[in-house]
Amino acid sequence: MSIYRKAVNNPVTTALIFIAFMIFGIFSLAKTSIAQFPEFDANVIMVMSSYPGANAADIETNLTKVLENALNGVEDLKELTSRSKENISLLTLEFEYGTDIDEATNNVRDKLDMVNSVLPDGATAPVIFKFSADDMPIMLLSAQANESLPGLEKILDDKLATPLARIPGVGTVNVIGAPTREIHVYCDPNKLQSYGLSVSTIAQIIAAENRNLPSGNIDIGSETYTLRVQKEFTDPSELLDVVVGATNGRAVYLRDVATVGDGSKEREQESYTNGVRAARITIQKQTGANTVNVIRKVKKELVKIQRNLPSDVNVSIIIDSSENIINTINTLKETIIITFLVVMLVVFIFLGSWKSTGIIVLSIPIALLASLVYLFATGNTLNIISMSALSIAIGMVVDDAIVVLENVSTHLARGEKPKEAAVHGTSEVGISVIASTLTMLCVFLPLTMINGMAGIMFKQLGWIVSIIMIVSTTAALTLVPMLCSIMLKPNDKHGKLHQKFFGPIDRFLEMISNGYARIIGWATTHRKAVIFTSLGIFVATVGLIAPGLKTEFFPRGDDGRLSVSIELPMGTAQDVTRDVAERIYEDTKAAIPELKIYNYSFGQADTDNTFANMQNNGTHVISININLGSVSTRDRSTAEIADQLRGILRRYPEIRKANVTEGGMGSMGGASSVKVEVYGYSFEDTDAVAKELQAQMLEDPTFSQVLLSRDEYTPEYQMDFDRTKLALNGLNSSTAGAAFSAAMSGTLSSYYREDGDEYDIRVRYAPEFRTSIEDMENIVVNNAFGRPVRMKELGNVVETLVPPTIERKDRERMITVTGVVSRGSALSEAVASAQKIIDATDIPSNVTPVIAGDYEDQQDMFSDLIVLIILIIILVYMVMASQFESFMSPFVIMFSVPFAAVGVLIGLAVTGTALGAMGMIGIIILLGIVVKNGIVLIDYTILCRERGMGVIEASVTAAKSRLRPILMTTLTTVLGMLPMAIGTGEGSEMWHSLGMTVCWGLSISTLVTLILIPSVYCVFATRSERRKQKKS
Amino acid sequence: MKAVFIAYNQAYNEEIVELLEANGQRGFTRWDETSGRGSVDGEPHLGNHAWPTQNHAILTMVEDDKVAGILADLKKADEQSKDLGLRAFVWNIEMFC
Repeated sequence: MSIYRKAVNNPVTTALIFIAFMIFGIFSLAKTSIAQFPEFDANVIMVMSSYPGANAADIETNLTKVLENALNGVEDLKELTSRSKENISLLTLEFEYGTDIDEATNNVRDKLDMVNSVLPDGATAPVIFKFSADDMPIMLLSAQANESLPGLEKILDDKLATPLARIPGVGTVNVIGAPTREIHVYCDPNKLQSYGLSVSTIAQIIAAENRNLPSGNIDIGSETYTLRVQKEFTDPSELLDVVVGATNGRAVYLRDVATVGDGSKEREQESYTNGVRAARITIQKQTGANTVNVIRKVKKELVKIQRNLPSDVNVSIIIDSSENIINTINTLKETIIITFLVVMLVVFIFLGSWKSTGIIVLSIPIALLASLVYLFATGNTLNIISMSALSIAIGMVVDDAIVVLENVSTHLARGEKPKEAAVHGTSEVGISVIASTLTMLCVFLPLTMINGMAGIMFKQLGWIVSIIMIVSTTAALTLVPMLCSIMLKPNDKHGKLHQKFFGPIDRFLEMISNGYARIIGWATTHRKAVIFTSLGIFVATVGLIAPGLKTEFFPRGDDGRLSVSIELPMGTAQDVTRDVAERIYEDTKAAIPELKIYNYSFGQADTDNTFANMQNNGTHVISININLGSVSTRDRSTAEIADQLRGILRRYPEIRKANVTEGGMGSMGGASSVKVEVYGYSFEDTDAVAKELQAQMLEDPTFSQVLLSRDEYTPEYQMDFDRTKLALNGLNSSTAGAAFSAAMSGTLSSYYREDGDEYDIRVRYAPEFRTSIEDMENIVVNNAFGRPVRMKELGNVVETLVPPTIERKDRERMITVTGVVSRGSALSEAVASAQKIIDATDIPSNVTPVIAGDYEDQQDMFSDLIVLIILIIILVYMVMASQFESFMSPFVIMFSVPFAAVGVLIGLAVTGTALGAMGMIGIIILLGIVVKNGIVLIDYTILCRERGMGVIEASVTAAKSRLRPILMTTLTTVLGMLPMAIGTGEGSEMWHSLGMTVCWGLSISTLVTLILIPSVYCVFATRSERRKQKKS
Repeated sequence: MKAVFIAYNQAYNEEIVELLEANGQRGFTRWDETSGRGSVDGEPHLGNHAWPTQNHAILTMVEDDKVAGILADLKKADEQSKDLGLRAFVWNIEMFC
């Protein structure tokens, strides 16, 4: 018994099977997390090794080169870049996407083991660490306080960071910018000298005085007592009474030579939110945790935490990476619902019956929910790609059901019993329904097999659409006939209202069908005219539009976030930086009313704060995080505001480098950038070329910001001791150096304990004695004979320049010029102008500029996708050829493919969109859809001929009879894509081009092919007819 | 005793057997999915791409007095839905065992 009859005869089982699918789907929907993009493994491994004392060039030759040579041969390595700076060599190995990173790590470790013995003595063993997008903070909080400010760090540490870190999924919680308590002992060098003391002796004495010692036990009578010496300071003021020496038989107290302060660290990162000093809390998630889920839990916990905090401490959210994700997914949900309604309406208008419409659209939720089971089973998320896939599929899943239902209705009209009509109606079209699904699978299954970035992005799309197509075909062949047999009646009577509404629609469609048949009648007799006009259209569009075609990688998103990194000249004092930062804030606040939250921080990061240390930091670096709120709440785009901010920053002459990045931390979808990598060994030559390129690119309107990767030579002071003088004083570089550093940066003598927390006690010169070069030269060190000597007697302070970090890529020195593509320009335009600038620049023969960055990735992905397109075209042709058992018919149908390209080109030109990765996916999808119309048309033409009609008569009859189903399936697909193409919600930029390419490509190709294909078919068919006649 | 040969669209399926039963006719021989074409008009039932429908055929040996009833019922069924196609032919049985 056929599957159709089984389904019709067992309606309960059939219904229950699909209900089970839906229940699993709903369960999966509830359990599937949401995310921005499909998850992918990190593809970057870093190798760090240090060689203390070596300068950048030494590191490069002795360490970096050795490591690079060893690691260059690691499997699947895509790019090897390195940075050599003083003491440290840092190699970054970027692997092909999809590489098993654990295996890669093992390979790297093996290679490192081999070279370990060749590394210079004194270099540390290289350390491997993996870095992925998961390491980026997912949330930034800001805590403001008034009265509690001095104790804020402790409060946040105890009451905020610790409970938050306990939440499952939360990785680390860092508090930056809150004042850190420190007890400082500020010595007066003159007094120290007169009492014959030094900073280090004072530090030793304090350490010795600040002790608790367990001293064993004593038995007294029948009791045993423990013994302790308890002399730790219980109050910082006790320090003042410490005896640090004796002079003329009188004790010298600490208060005689120093002051003691209980305050905050001198140099630390300061963070301000909306102009008020506040701590910044960064939250990282654990690798593999879901951002949205983690943040949801954090927010829940924050409500509780806020209750326990002192009333003046106010915690606000600066950046919440889940917000954009949730909004984007919600936009997609809306899009899916709208698409569903649109498709339902189209089906209803064409069929004029609620029952039929109901039967057909029922396959949408079934297929969609079934695909969610896949997402859940494979541990994937609901993200932009998977949700777009659902939306794309809606318009296509109904096609099969429409074909089946239409044929069942024909059988019913003939007077068959509903059950029999359902079985026979389905079995007649079964093969062609399966064939058309196969052509779609030819398009979508190869998507699941591609590698690289495209693979990560579009694997899910491929699977989801494939699953949806398979499920919907199954439903069309079982559930639809079953429902038809139950719900459809042979002669459904319609009311007057129905007639009033559908009468005109019917007449209109009839009119179009007749008109179309007449056009085909004309076209098939004027084949040459039709074919040459079509060819003309094709050549004209390709010739006119294709050369000016703009391309991009990913569209520019708008998530309302800006991150800015500003570098003032190296060595700018923190006070100056603070002043500049405040002025920038005031200017920005005045100029940009959209500001929701503006957080900035600056200063040297604490050594124990890993995340802050990985970022560029220092007293001269200001980092700003701006939250502009969701797109719907403002008129201007993030890009526009970014440009304005760049303009504001340009007005500050003291800013050496300002980098305004759209899209917060590490998220995709900001502005594209063009990187020109200038390779060459000589610093001077590459610097000159890079600067020239930077200057030229800045003048070009396609770039809004151009930065160089290499820092300049930075000034520093060195204490240069004279070894002979040191020896005369019985000192050496280490002892003298220690005294120098003790005076300037202080000695951590011991800890002051209070309430279970430890605070540093730092002894150093009072601030007023370390402000100038003279002060440094006047630092006193006691020589081996106990006599005080000044630094200037031992050597002198010299100003030198530190060479910049040496960057290398693929074992060659380079410097990168990064240009951010301006608003309204496409990546391809920026690349073209960069190329023009490079060509126009006089470049020495030892320097080679190469364009890389997003452009390189885009080219990689495009070439992957183009190979895929060719493969898909061949596969689709093969499926059709086997369905028609002919090489000619599918060849005729393939004529619709170039016109899909024409449609896409026109669409891109009309809307001024650039062709990006999403657009390419649109084109790939089109390959499957555009041939469907041709299949329907040619299949029926062949059928008419088999029934004995002539070639032209068959074409006209087929055209007349098939126009309606073709219009219906095309409209469901085009209108189903429309909400994607014109939606305006948050994140919609991402899929605009996808919807747009499909809409335009399918519309234009349908219009052209409806006329062209019958004409081309006639040409081939008459020729083969003639050949047959000749033979006979 | 007459032989009645009925060729009918497969959409009738069990209906014809039921019709025979209603007329008190138990025995029959059926061929499923046969192809054929009418002499005058109507769609051919060839089970191919052009004419996808197919026929069933029944040969049944009927007592003389039941033939008229069966034929009348068959005619009624045919007239109800002319597009499907149903034909019955009757001839004499010479001998049987």
